[in-house]
Amino acid sequence: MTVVVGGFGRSLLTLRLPSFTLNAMSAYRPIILLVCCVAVLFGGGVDADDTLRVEIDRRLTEVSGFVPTQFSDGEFLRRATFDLIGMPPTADDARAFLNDASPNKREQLVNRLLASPHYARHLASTLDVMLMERRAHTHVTVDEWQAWLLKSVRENKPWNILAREILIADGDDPVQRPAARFALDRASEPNLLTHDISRIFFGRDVQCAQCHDHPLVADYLQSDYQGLLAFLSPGYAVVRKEGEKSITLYAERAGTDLPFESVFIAGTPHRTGARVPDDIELDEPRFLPGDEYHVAPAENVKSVPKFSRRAKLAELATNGSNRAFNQNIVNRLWAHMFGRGLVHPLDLHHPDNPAVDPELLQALADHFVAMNFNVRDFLRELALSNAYQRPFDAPEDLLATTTLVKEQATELQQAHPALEMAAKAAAEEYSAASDAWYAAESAVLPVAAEVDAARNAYAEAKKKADEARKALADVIAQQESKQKAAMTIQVAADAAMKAAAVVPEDKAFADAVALLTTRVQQVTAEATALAPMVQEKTAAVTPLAESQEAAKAPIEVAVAKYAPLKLAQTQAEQAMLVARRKSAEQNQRLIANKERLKTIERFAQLSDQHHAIKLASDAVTAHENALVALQQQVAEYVPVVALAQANVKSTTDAMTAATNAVNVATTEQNRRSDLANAITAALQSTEAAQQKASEDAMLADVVTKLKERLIVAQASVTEQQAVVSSAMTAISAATDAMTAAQKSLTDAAADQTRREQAMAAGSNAIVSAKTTLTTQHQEYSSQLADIQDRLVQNFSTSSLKPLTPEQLCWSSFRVTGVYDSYWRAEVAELDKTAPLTDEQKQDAAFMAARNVDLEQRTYDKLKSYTGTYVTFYGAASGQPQGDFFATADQALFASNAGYINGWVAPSGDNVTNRVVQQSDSRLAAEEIYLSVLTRLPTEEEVAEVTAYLANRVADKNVAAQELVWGVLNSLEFRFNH
Amino acid sequence: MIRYACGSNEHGIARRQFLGSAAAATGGLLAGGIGIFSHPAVADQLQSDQKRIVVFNMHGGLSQLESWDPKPGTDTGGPFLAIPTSVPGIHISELLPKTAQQMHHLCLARGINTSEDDHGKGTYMMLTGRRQTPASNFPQLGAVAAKTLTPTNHSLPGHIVITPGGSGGRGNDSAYLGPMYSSISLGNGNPPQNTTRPENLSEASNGARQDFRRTINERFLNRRRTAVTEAFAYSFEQAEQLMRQRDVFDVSKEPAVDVERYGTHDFGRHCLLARRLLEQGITFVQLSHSNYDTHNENFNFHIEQMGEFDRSFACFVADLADRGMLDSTLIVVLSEFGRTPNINLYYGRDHWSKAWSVCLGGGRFPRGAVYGSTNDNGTEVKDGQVDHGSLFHTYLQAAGVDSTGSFDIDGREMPIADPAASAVAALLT
Repeated sequence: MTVVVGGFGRSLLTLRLPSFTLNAMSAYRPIILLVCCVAVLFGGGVDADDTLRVEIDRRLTEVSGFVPTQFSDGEFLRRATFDLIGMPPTADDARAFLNDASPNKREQLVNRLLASPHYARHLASTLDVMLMERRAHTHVTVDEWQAWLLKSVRENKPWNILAREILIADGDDPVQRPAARFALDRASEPNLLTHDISRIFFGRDVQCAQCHDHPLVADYLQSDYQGLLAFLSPGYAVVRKEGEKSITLYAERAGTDLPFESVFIAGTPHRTGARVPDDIELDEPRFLPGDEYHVAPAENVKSVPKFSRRAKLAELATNGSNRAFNQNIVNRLWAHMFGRGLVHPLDLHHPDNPAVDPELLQALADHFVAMNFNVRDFLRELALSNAYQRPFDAPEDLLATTTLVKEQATELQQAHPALEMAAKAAAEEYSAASDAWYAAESAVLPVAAEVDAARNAYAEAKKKADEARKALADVIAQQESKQKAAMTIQVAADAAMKAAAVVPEDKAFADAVALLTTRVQQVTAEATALAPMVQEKTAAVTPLAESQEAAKAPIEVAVAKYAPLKLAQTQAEQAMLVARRKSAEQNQRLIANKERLKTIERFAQLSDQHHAIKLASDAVTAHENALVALQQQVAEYVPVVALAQANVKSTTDAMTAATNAVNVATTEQNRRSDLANAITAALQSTEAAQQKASEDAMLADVVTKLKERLIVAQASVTEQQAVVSSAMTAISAATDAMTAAQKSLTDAAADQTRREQAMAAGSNAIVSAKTTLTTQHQEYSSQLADIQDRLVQNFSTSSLKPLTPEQLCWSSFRVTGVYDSYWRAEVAELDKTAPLTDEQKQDAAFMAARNVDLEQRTYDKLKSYTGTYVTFYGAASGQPQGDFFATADQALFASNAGYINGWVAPSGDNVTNRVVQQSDSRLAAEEIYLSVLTRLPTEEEVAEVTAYLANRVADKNVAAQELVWGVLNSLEFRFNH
Repeated sequence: MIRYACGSNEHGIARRQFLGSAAAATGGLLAGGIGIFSHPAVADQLQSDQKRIVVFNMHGGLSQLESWDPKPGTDTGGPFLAIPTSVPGIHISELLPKTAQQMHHLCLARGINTSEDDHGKGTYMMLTGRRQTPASNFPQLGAVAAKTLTPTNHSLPGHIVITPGGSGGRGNDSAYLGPMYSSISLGNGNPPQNTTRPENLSEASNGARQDFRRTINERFLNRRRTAVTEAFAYSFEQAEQLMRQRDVFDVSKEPAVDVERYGTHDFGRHCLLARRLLEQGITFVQLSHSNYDTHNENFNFHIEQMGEFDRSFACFVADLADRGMLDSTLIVVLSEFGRTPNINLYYGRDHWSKAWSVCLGGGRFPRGAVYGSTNDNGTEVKDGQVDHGSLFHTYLQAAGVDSTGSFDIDGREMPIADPAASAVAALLT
């Protein structure tokens, strides 16, 4: 049964408003009603709700192209607790949750948080900041206002009802007076209210469109601003004295058309009635001048017009049919949970700044309306969507996780021209429709002026007639008063006469009767004397009343002329609205396509980049491998070179030996030659002596012997010449060998040099490949950072979510144990003053109420601190409160003021003291990280804490305090939620 | 103590206490960009010789007739004479004899007409150059000066307001420029809040915990580094710098002889502190002298107040001139309005915005000059009429800022000064 209903509900809920025609709009409410009935009848609420979670995840996965992992239990616990009750869980909560094996513990947690009194406190505080932006109170105290909001949230008042109450509140009804703070503490100022209502309830910051069309946002028209202003310009603050006290109320006059003109385009007047954002001008009943009020404006009086534009605005905005109103609130609730809106900034909804997924935004709005603007149920759906549970860090391997591939880009690129054309065509259609509307307006303007003139003439005539009527009434009143006096005196005279009849002798009675009778006659005469005056005044009234009556006809004539023209204008406006929405829709499609394409391109680039890194990395490896081979080659060739060097050496040695041998032989030859020469010389001297002493036999004998010796010597020379010659030959051979050896050495050396150069080149190649790799890595990182931004923007990873000033304050109380110790004190106080009976302990409703009471008591004790935090961490009064800023005075406050320094001092069983007591430094580290950041420390963090404490045995309590302070003032605490 | 008749808030509170409570610190917004990482819209106008501005806010409404534009011997002139000044031809009230001797450094605009006789609205107009409207809020001169004139990453705050009392804190005066340019107030001239380490926290202990904080932040920044995370981490570094430079705000470091010269009263001390701050490179300093709202006993009161003002102010002007700071430092003496020429039954003068004066000096302002005049008994501007809007342009231009430019606030162009007004050329050299 439920399954069927669920399916039924889903198919109904996913029905989209087709093309925003007015017919479609009116067909809209029955659908909601039907869905609600189905849900109520079959208890199918859960199933209907399921579709929202599923829808969110389906849409977002498609948009981001990213199948994300869910974040851990710890992260979920922390975020959900922060988002739903405004402060983090305690360390005990964290341990219990982490140890809970139940498969649906996340859902149980969300339900528990939503039922907690802290949920109402946190949401009321969020709504307060959103609605009042920390404005100072002037007419309604902040306490009364916050109490009213808190009560509303505790009752889970639907958002549309809450908004309606705020929009219509005039401050007169004591119960709803706090709701009037929105207007009263904005001095009931129409332009300020227009600006803020447009931003806060419709998500459009149209301030720049007050005096001209918005210069930067094409879709924000001056007519939008003036149309909304027309709802609010009749409002004004009136002071009503009530005895000693006086009370300021937000009263309302009858509305009129607002004339306006762009300061940029002088001489082109416009005129508008009231217009809700994303709708056409209101067709409202017009009354004759003087007939517009139930209670006319006067001093000390809250006027009440017969037609209240303010009430109409409240109705049109909140009846479920206004898309701008519905989308604004779901986007704001989304941002409350996710840290940023589907449309961001929250007050810039317009076609050029579309939602991350426009269809999802519309689906959320439809669901929210269908669930009757039930904020608690809606937040539950958001919290339990997978989208909400996405982790802070992107997965390591993004590419493996994305479903986006290059091929899709082609498809989107192909779709682009058609979308561009459609957008252009729609824009042109809109432009034409807009021109037609302005033309229709131009036709209306002079006739509207005629109507004004006729109405003014009537008002003038009426004023004169009224004055005459008043004069007549005064005279008649005077006459009547005299007649009444005469009658009263007559009664007295009659009584006196009766008395005189009883005592006829009493002269006094007779005198009295006479006196009274005379007075009756006198007064009657006076009354009668007024008759001509009455007649005269009556006569005076008649022509003036006739003129007044006659002045009606011109109005009718003018209106008869005006009505068809105005109808034409209305029709033109309807046509324009349709064209405008269509153009917006086409524009959004175009932008969505562009954005998807961009995301895919980024992923593709990332993929390319990834590939490039792979290539660069491979190149490094290849070069490294090549280098090894080259080194091998160099190494291998070393023996060859060595051998060649050895050859050179041995041949050189041989050469040296041969040279030596030649030298030796030559020396010998020279010696021998010298001997032979000496013998020759001796022979010649001897022969000369023999010629002088020819018979000297001795001499002859000497000659003979010398000749013999000469022959021997000459033979020896000759012999030695052969030796020399042979040695010379050996030198030549040795020279050749040496030359050859040297050449082969040169060759080998050159060869080796080449090998060495190749090796050096190989090394260089590695360096350059590594540089390339580094560059690729850097590019990849910046690409990744860009993608990470996109991942945050399309909710694939969770965003940085700075704590609000209030969250910072309550969270600091929570993690330092201040909150819990105050809570326990209140419990003790209650236990003493109103001890629980056993029966009460069993009574869930009673215990829940007691919890609410405890929360209120604890809050009251600590709330003054939030003011201090707002002073330091809050934006200025009346300025948007969502933007983050950090200033030195905040850091000085955190570092030097007594607050945080006092709270982190060891005391009771607070985290600091638990760390001091803990002898195991790992457990001490766990204590700190679980208490302050709701997670276990990493090994690195454990080591850090261990080292920190190891050096500080002597002043461990101071060291523990430093550690807790450090984590409490860390980026992770400030932002990571 | 003099009682004031008009019953507004300003009057019921004892003199010298008012501004302290008014300076209740509230926040601001980030619309001006993310703190230190945003650059001034007019960064290219920054010059090496940094321009500074000091504003003396004569709180409650200084009587022009007892100061810059005396009318002795007329039905409205009151009892005081006009005396010659160091500039031949310029006479001011005899209540300002020392200031008269500095007139060659100053100039007077005597034709102010602001058409606003309400204290709050008048102050708003004179300090923002715009009329207050419920739907919009504009930054004060100090915030504009801090944004346009302070060098990027200057470690000291650019917008200081010395208040007669109070505990200090961040002011709510920078509107869309954001809290980075909000005033830091020095309550009764004391250094900024929370700039001393708590007694029970040793330097070593603080150093250790700050180091630990930096270490874990560094790890977090490796996971996600954005402008906001950087800004938050940097705010702690700024805080430490400010603590190291705390002496900048400590007027007791000034020589005793100067304390004596300036006068030992609060205003004297505040003037001396202003001199110190400007010398140390603070862009904008505003101090006030209170309270001039003399519906009763205007003359007695001005004798007392002007006496105090004259001594300190004349010292201040002379010192700036001596130190060669006048070319780079603008002096503006303003009020929310002047006081009626008509003397009421209580010898008082009431609120009067139709014809009054401001005193200017330094920067591009002419020296020893008068611009504009009122008629014989001071009831109307005769020539040289200017209003708050043109004055605001003129101050900025005298400090070298192109006041016709715009700030870029989240893509919205916000004109620096009211585009409907323009600077007074005669007041710029």
